Amino acid sequence: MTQQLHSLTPPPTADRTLLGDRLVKRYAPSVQDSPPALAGVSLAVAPGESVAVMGPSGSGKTTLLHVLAGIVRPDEGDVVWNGNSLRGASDATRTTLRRSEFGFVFQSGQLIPELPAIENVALPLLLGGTDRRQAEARAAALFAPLGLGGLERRRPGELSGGQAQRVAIARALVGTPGVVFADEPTGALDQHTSGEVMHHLTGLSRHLGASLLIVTHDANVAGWCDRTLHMQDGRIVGEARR
Amino acid sequence: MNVLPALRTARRIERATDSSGRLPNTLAIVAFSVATAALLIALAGLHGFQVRDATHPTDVSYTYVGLAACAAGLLAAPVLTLGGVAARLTVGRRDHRLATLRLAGATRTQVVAITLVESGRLALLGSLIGIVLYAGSLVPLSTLRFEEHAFSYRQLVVPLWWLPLVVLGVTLLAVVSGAIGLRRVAISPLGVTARHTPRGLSVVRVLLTMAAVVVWVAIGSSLQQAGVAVLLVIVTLMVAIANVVGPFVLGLAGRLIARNARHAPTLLAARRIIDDPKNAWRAVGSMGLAITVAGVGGSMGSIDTSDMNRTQQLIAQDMRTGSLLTVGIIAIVAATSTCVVQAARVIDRQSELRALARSGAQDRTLIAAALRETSLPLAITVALSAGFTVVMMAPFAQYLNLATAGWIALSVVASIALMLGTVRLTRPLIRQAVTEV
Ligand SMILES: Nc1ncnc2c1ncn2[C@@H]1O[C@H](COP(=O)(O)OP(=O)(O)O)[C@@H](O)[C@H]1O
Ligand SMILES: [Mg+2]
Repeated sequence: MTQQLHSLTPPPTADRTLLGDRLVKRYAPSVQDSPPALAGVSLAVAPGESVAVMGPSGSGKTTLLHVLAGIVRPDEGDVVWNGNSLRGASDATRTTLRRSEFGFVFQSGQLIPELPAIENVALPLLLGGTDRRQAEARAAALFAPLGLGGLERRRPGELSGGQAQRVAIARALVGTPGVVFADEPTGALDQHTSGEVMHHLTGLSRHLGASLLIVTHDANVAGWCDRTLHMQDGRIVGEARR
Repeated sequence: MNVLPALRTARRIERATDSSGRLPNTLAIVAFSVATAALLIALAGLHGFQVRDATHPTDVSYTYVGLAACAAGLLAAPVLTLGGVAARLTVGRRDHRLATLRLAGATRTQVVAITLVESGRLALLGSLIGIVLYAGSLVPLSTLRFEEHAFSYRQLVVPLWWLPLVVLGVTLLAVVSGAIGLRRVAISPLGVTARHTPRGLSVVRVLLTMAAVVVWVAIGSSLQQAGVAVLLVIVTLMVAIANVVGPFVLGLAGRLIARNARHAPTLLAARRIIDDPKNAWRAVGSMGLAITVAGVGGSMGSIDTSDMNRTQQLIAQDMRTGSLLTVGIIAIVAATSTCVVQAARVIDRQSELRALARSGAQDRTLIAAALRETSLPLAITVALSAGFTVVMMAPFAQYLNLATAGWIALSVVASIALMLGTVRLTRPLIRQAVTEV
């Protein structure tokens, strides 16, 4: 694994810490009495650290993930990545940041059904302008470590749920991101497959030096992470370390 | 069979949909009305020449009936295609909701009924609007001169009892296409998650094509003029063959392009052609037909007529007018099909586009990829049909002049401009899918 992935390992950088500072987000600002989706959340994700976010449905987990990843702008507070504040960043800057520094895994359905697995994995690099041969070579290096050897030409419809999610993990990691954001990545999987996917997601992220922020409602999934945050009504109400 | 309660539930869901969700319905209605208007205009031309032949017969008046029948026959394929893609649009976006209903316990019959009623309703509305469009087109049509005479309204207005038949035909077409498009949802509640399109319809298509050929040949021979009948058979065979060969050739070209693609938009476009060449063909095939008709008709019109008699010169001139008109209508119908197919694609892929945007893909990259999905097969089709036209016309090269090449070039440029212009209309839809986070 180490040898194959050598070319993918990023150079160590000064401070690849992700900070959220007193984040507030209201979806309907006109409705005064509606509680905010985020009601002042602060957290820090250290370089290489894996953090699980748990909580009941509607507690603001997805919103927190979207705000930290620069997908949604907070109404108050700030996100700081690698020492840079996202407060004044333009849409274009945040788009570039997501493409070049972050990786994403969603619950399901984000693989493009017409593309073979290898091209799905290479897609973020291709979209960023990397040469096709080079992009596919880097994508190919991730298949064996994820136990996907031999499935490169299969299309998503020809993969099992667990295999498809591992392809999605490869896609999230192909650009050697500083942080991988995962929203219910095992939500559509059974217990056993879910464990397998988490094994690969945490192992490979750690190996590549990426921090990991996982939203989940499954305590077994959270058990794979260094730290677990509990949310309720848009606030962090508890924290547990492994 | 508890269809009615299910229908009421479906209507409630429909009403709750916000305005952006209604855009596809509007598009489907526009598509059905364009198809209906095109059909009626073709029938009006046929009717006009028939009336002339009956009231003021000349040596050539019957030839004109045959030529008008040819034009109507050429229009049949694009109109059928447009009706089909519009029906698919009405079904496609319901996939998700209908699968949800199915999961919630709706029976297959209920789900089928809901969809067919909805497709039929939109088609009915569209075809009624189409009749209005046709009525509006009578004014410009009455200024066209054939055999040195403009059409009178009496010649152009079809017998009124044709109208309900056309409305019924369009509605039935929508219901049947809707039923076909629904197969992947209705089969299983998990149809959507699996997202597998059955590809088994080629036998039905071949049979339908053959039936169309037989019907057309029957009509053609009943016109009792050998020359025209032969022309009809040739035209019909050409269209039928193009519809069988087109998707196949597109698939081959897609494979070649996918292997050598260097950028994401081209790769995505090529892979999607390979995945569903028939869909790609539905989007652009009619434009290929327009180019071929423009090339062939325009060449015939440009044949050197200096040593012909007056009647022959008139026919040549009228053929040019007629083919221009036919090409214009085919091009509008084709561009509408393209727009509808493109819109359906964007709607189907909304979540996929959103995931890509969240992962940091730029808007313009995603828009470029979506547009290329139409422009790539379009480019292939244009090249093929232009080549085909040149080959078709090669035996007559001695009669042709430079104008032929000019005609083909002009029609190629105009068709591409029209189609790409139409595809751009779907940009707001793409942007909406991409920016809504
Ligand atoms: N796009 C949105 N528009 C309006 N309200 C939203 C939107 N997304 C989420 N919400 C609301 O914000 C709250 C938090 O939602 P979310 O972050 O999705 O929670 P979770 O992921 O924990 O289920 C909920 O009350 C939800 O209804
Ligand atoms: Mg959520």
